[in-house]
Amino acid sequence: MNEVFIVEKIEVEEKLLERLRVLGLRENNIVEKYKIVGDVEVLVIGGRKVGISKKILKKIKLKKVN
Amino acid sequence: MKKIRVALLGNPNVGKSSLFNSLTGKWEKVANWPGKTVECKIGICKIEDIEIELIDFPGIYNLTPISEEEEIAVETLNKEKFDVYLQIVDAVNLDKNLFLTLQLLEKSQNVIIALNMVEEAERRGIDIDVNKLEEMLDIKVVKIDARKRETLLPLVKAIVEVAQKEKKEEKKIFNEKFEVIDKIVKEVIKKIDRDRKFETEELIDKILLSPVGGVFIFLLVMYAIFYLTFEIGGYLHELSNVIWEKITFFIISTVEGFFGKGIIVDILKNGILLGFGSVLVFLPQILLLSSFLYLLEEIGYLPRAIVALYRFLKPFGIEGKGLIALLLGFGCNVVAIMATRLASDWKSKVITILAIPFMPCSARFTVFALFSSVFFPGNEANIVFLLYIFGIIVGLISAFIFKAYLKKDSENFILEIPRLHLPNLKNIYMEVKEVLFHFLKRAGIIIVIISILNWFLINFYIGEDNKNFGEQIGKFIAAFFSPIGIGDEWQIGLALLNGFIAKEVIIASLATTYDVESEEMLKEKIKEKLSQESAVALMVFILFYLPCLATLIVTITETKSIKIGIFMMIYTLFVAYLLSIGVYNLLHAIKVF
Repeated sequence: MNEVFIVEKIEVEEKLLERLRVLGLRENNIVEKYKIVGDVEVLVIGGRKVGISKKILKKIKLKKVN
Repeated sequence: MKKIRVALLGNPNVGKSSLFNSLTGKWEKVANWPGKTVECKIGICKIEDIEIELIDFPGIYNLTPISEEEEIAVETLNKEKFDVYLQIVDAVNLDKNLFLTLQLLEKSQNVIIALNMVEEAERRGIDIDVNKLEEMLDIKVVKIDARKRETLLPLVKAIVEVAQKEKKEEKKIFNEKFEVIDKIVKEVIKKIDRDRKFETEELIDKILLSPVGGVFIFLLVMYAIFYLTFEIGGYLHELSNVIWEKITFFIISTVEGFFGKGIIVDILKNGILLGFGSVLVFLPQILLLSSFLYLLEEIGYLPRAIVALYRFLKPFGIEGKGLIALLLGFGCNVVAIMATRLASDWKSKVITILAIPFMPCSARFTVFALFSSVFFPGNEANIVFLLYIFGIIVGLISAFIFKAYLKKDSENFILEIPRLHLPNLKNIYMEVKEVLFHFLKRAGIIIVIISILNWFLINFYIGEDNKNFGEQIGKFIAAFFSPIGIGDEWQIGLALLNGFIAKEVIIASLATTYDVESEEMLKEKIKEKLSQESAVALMVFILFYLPCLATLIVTITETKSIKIGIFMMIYTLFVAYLLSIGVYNLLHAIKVF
């Protein structure tokens, strides 16, 4: 089972923020951590797999859902 | 005839190419975007007396670009006028696609949604109320199966209808787009409880996206591609040889019947047909290699390879998507350099561009295929695979050096990983057909011209020592290659010079200058003239030396810098020379042969 998180805050530049939101990574949305592949973390967002570098992920506040 | 101009848009991996190919049947032409050197595909679809011109845009998520390719697409959308904006939408991921729809609706009322992959959505428990979606967006929504041409008539009719309707002046503005999207999704999507699991798909992804397995599979896939290219391609190559020999015999005897033996027949036989044929017989292998690479793209494997290899490429300054450009370099360096538009910044683009000439293109492949069959019969696939790996390693080292010089930070990497799916063979066919035309155009024009030129060079003599022009030029160049044991082979010197125009010409040039009549004779000649060490060193030199003229021109236009172009020439020549001498001496020292 993948760990489930809720997106609390995203602090990236505007262009990137819009792209992340289009892909479904928006505040209060649920995401699953699927796999860590080196410096990329694969998340499942709305049923879709999205690879995001850890550099970006550091700027996204996720809260674990029990 | 009335003409309707349609912009075909959509997110990446939603079936846009399939729709374009199904609607148009073929690519009408490849043109440049206005004011740009970047190519776009244009196709025509006719219905009654109406001509629908489809302009295929690159996949975009929204109108806020984060790469150069997206920037060009958005700029064109803003500048150019279109009668209809046709957005292909993936029914499985409606929410993700709607942002672009809303942005397009802010530009024009003439937006149509082609809802693709409906069956796949239903399989996954997603049922979309199309009427409700139409009503909420106030636009036409047409269910399609992009792979099946017979399902597209309602879409074509909708395009005509929307293009002909009276244009409304007012434009819609959506202030809170994500709220609008959430509302639409809530209203139009009905979840069906199918309780289906996609275990096989998940299992494959677990392997492909695992840190070790992903890299292992990538190497395995690449090796399998080379193995199959040589195994299957080998038979086809032999067959092409036999067919070409018969064609040549027929043409020569026919022309001899008209003109008798003489200069015309000699130019035709030992210039044009020999040069053209010596490269043409490798066409089956080139097409197979291209088919396999497009197949990987078609089934959705490449994004998985990018994720798996990201951490290995990152230290070298090649950003994840740069891998696509590097892999395309195996097909053609020109196409690969154009693909660096996917890079998110200029530094990444330049680093990738400078690594691409080290990716052996299909033109160099012809040289490796011939030489490895002469010196390593039965082991051709292994030798060529090793050469490709060597090319990748040197390309990465070069990228690492340039990364340090350009002080490139790690990038912002975001990549959607599409579902794995069966390939659309028509898309692969269309792409490979393009490779075929490109090859024949190059072979037909450049190789023939160079072959004729070479014929003249070696048949006209100057000076007291009665040496022909080609020999004089070739000797001058070959002298630089004494350290790898081919200093006396003026034919190779001339072939390397010709190779700067196009790498395909190398074999053609050797065939003409060695004055042989068949591939077998050329092989014997090469074996007689070169030692194994010299042959390997020469392959290494050809692997790295000078990009072809077309690659050089594209590099200059893409980077808008002549300096980078000149630098690329000098450093590839330097690296090639140094490594070929190094390999030659190493092989001698360890007495491997």
